[in-house]
Amino acid sequence: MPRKRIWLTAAAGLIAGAGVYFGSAAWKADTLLRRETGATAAEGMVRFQEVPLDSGVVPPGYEAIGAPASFRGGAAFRGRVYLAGLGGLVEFESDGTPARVFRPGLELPSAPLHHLITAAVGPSGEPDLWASAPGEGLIRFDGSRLTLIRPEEPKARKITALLAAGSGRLLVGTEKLGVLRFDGARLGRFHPSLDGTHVTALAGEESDFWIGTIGGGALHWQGGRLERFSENEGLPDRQVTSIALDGPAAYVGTPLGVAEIRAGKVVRVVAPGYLAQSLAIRGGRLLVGTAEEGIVEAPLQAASGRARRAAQSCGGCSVSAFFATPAEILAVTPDRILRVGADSAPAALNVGGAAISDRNVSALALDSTGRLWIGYFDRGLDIWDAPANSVRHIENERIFCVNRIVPDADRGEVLVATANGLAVLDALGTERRFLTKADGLIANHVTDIAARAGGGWTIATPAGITLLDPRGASSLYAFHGLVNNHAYSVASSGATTLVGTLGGLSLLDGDAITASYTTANSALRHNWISALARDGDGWLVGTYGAGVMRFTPDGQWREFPDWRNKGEVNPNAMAATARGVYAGTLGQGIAIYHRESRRWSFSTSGLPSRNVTAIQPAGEYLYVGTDNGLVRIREDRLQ
Amino acid sequence: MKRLAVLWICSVAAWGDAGVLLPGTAQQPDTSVLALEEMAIDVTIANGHARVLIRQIYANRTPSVQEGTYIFALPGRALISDFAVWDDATRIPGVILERKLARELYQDIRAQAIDPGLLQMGERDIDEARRTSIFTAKVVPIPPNGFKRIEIEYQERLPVERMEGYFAIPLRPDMYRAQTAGRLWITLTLQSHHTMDGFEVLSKAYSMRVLERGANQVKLALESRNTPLTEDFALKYKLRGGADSLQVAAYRDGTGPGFFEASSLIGGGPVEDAGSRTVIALFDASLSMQWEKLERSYQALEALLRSLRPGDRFNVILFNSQVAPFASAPQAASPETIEKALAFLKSQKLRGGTNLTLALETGLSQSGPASYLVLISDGGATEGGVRNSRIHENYARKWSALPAERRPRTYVYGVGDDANGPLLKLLARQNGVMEWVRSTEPAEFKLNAFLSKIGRSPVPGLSLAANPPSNFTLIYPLEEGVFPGSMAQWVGQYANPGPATFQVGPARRQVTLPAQAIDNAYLPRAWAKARVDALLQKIDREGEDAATIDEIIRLSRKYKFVTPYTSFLAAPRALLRPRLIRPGDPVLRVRTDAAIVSVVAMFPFGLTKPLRFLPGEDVWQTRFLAPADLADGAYPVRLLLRDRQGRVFRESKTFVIASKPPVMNVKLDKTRYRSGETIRLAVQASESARTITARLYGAPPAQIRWNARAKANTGEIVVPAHLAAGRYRIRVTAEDFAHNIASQEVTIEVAP
Repeated sequence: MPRKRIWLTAAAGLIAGAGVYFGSAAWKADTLLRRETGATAAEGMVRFQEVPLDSGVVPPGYEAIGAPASFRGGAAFRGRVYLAGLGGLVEFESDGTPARVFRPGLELPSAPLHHLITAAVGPSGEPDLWASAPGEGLIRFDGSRLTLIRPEEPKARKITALLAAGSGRLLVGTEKLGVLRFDGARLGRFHPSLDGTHVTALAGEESDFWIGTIGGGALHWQGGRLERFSENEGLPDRQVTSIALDGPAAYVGTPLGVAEIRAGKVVRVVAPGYLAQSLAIRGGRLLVGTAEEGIVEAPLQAASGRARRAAQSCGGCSVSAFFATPAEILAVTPDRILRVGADSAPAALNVGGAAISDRNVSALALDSTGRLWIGYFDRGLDIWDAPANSVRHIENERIFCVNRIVPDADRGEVLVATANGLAVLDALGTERRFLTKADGLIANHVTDIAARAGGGWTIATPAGITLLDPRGASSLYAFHGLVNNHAYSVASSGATTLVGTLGGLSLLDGDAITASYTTANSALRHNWISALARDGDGWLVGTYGAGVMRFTPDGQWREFPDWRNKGEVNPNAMAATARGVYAGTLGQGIAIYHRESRRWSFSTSGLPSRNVTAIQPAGEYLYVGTDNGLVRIREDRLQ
Repeated sequence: MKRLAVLWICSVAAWGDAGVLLPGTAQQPDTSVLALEEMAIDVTIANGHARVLIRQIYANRTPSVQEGTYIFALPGRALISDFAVWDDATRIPGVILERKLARELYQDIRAQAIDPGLLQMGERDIDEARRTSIFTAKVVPIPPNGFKRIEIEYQERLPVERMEGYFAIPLRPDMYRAQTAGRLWITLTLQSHHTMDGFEVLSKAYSMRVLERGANQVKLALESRNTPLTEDFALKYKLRGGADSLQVAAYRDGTGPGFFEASSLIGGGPVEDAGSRTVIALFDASLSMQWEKLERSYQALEALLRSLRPGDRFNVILFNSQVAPFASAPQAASPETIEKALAFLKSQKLRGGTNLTLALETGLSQSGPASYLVLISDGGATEGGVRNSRIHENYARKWSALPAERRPRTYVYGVGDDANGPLLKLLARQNGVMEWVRSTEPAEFKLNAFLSKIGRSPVPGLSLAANPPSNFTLIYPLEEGVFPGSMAQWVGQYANPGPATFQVGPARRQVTLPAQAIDNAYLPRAWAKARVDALLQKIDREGEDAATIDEIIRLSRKYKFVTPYTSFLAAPRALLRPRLIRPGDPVLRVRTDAAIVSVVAMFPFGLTKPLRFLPGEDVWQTRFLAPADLADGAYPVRLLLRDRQGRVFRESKTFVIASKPPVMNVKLDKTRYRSGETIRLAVQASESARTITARLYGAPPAQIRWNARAKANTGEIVVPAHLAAGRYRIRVTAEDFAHNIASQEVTIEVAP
């Protein structure tokens, strides 16, 4: 069945005319064809599955909320430009118009993309587009079909670099397995001497290539010999961030500049002091893509001048990659690409269309007017009015690391727990108060908030809890009997408050601690309590290591056999509706409790990441936040 | 795939260590990298003034250049007087500078990509104030397969309590694994003008040779190899009172005035006040008392209550922005009431804000005959009057307005590195005593000395008469109130040599003040310290003035000690660096110079993140999640700091993933005991456990400490005599550096 093509309208800025896209394809691991290699797990070989990412019949009800694309890499392929990043893979027409979009969780596995290259792998000799999806494996695109090469060994999926090695092979840098080599049929370790190396960059060809490492400098593999270059040999830093080759010269980028290496010696440091995220060579110049200062260029010839900011730079932007087309060099930034042409006319290709401000969602809440408040890991929060297609972004030096958002309908306020204090905003998002230790909180870092019977709030922090009521603020921690100082989640029912901590669960009656539960004194399976949800007259308690357990009114603990041996429920990523209870997990997507059958199931369908960090029911829908985007799902699709 | 991790950004603050050198960003000494080859400790104790010089030589066992972090936790009353690192044959010492100049130089030196460090004192912020007791310095470079020599000197005045002096060097690490010294020398010279009636080396791990033993001088020495430093070096000595109770020491180098010290050993005398006492304890339960200060305060209060006799009465008044009395009036000090009071204290919550004035007034309202008002606090008032002078004046006025028999003796137990010492001293002037224990020093000796004074009065009207008066100036007592069994000391200056007479009470001594005598070399510095303390009190009463500040700066520079107006600037290439400990989730916060305009963090798992500057807090912050497979442990995070000139500096911090509380297993020698019997506990605990405490109803808590012979943590609890027969639970609690708590209960039976 042909896939429906999705067209994005390119728009600058964060506010888009249509912020919601209906998915027409979803990747479902349990229905697609799989092909296992015939290779056995011989020494040094890595078994893998080749999974065609074909579109299937996708039920309606899955919507990806447009978020910034956050590009990381780019490549020119068959006359078109492709950009890869947290938002997936975007294909552009020659005039810069976006053509197709392949999104994580839908057309792609539930993982972001990094690194994009073209390489001919296998006997056909035809180049394909290759991307890495850390945690999942390699993505191959031949122009019409997407395929996932998924190593069975989890360490082999932590891909950190790609290199078209020539001769039909791909070199794959990894975090823990050094360099792997893939020829289309077999995936294996390149050489034992590289095992365990945390690779950060690759450049060259299979018989002569350079390897950047995270702490061991640069390695030069040549004809079976390995040569090392570190600070002792003149590298400005032991961490290598990028490598570019120009004939006999190698340019090794580090956080403190670029070392030029010739004939086995570091001959000079170019662009000293710059964090060289990416490198390119063009027209006798070395282009350095930096982390915070755009593009810096330096002449390749020594003593021909110093590094200076390129005319086509982008102020304080981060340039993560360069790639070449026949005509020019293009630089990839999170939200645009820059043309670094031979002429002096800079141009930027903007790609926008984001409805919300960031992808890393940490909290969700619905206010009384139906607007969705989206808290971000370190980018403040959005108040998103989907029907009106408007969003107000709030981000400042206090509100940026958001943990939890709790509306107080009675007062018309919204409480926002942040790593720097407790913000009290009005319904429009204007700050009314910002509470910190100076106001009586036991710590500035607030992890959760729960309303108290009779008014006031219980505020959870890593140093204990603060009870905020008309009498003022008072605090207690382990000294007073709390089972552990690190409180992650609080919830109340009547006069009873539950405090979930790193070391167990404490119960309060009013403001007195009445009981504490740990693995030592109860049937609790894991002490780290991360989430709480009321369920009937009992509680569903999420843990960071043993999934969800039921805590009964008489203080008993019950397990659910559907949870596997391990299960990390993310902090406060639980929500209950009449139909079910939903828990966001670290690596299993969303856990779904079906009330009728009293069973749990797990789903990653349509999710841009397996790491689900927040869940908010909204009528017949659920908003599901992940560390790589936000989706809206019809609840009945999960049930 | 990311994992939420409980971690904290590590300060390498120590809790009681004499000279630990951590390689790189390690959290523990690692002898495979840096080994303590030699350690020499020279101690001179002259009339209660100790000067300790420690020299350590570390060997780099690796073929690459190393850098290390040197940590030294000063004992409570100690003041650092010198620090130096040797660069080959060149000794690079630290200097005392005016604080502003020190800051400017510090920034200048840093701008040259050399990392100096700064030691300051007097800050109110808890983290800053830790610097007064914890000295850290970056030592770099340590050449491959080479050596590094570090020297540190501190001086300390030793109190005399109950005719005994006590001295200790904290060699046993509280936080780190014990070091082993390849070669260890200890030389100790103990001199006293007062006759010594015995001394005892308390530490069993060091076999000291007695080289000389006389009535006024003792010399000890030790030389050993491969000595594990598993115990503090400690000794005590007894002084004999009597006819020679008043002694005078002098120093004059021939130029300028001479210095003298008059010390009078006040005889033991009978213990006073055998009658009933009323103790009103004011317990600070404000937010500033969080963590170690609260633990120490509770320890003090518990010890205080358990020391009460039948017939005594007590009340506990918790205070912060409000007051919360345990009872409306003092209660009989029965074991049951004491337990109830302790339980009451534990049930009360911390509140922000401290209204010390209200607390003191409430305490005064409950005082009666033979009352003691015991204030346990850091003295940090934030409400109801915050100026020291105002708080003290208000208290003194109200105290004086009471009928004489109802005026309580005001005993003050100051807690924490940042305790408001000046205020606490002022309050103790109302016929009381002040003691101060820092957050990190062992408190037992000071606490016992403090408690032993309850029920006893300082010797009234003690003063020094020096004749002819015209020859003497700037005389200061070294103690505010002196009790029987203690030493009353004064230091001062004299203009001209010649005969002089000193008198303290009935004790009298005639001496000839020398024109030149340099034996008592500690005297000028002791006098300067007393002079600076007096000037600081003057500033506190009357405000700052240029002349006073200038004199403080001059004296502290000349005699090398830190004041609120001066800082100790360590030499280039030897760094002093404050560290922050932040328990909690992975928020990275970094404080930098004002010149820094960008900070980027590079994590060991490949993540690179720029930090955001928070102007309101003057700190850079970012947040990150650790990969799911990152095990608990310490990891480095590298920081790139760029200044306005575009210069880039590299720094390294450490974060620790501590997602699990300590694990422990408690064993008892048996399970059935009688009243008065000793319960012996052995606890196996994970290495991360920092403190282990065992509690039994009715008994003081027992600290469980590492016992190398038993290869376990051991401690003892004595079953209280009053404990009725029955089953009881002993609760053992272990806490790690991230304040993760684990506890286990074991049941015992107390037989009738």
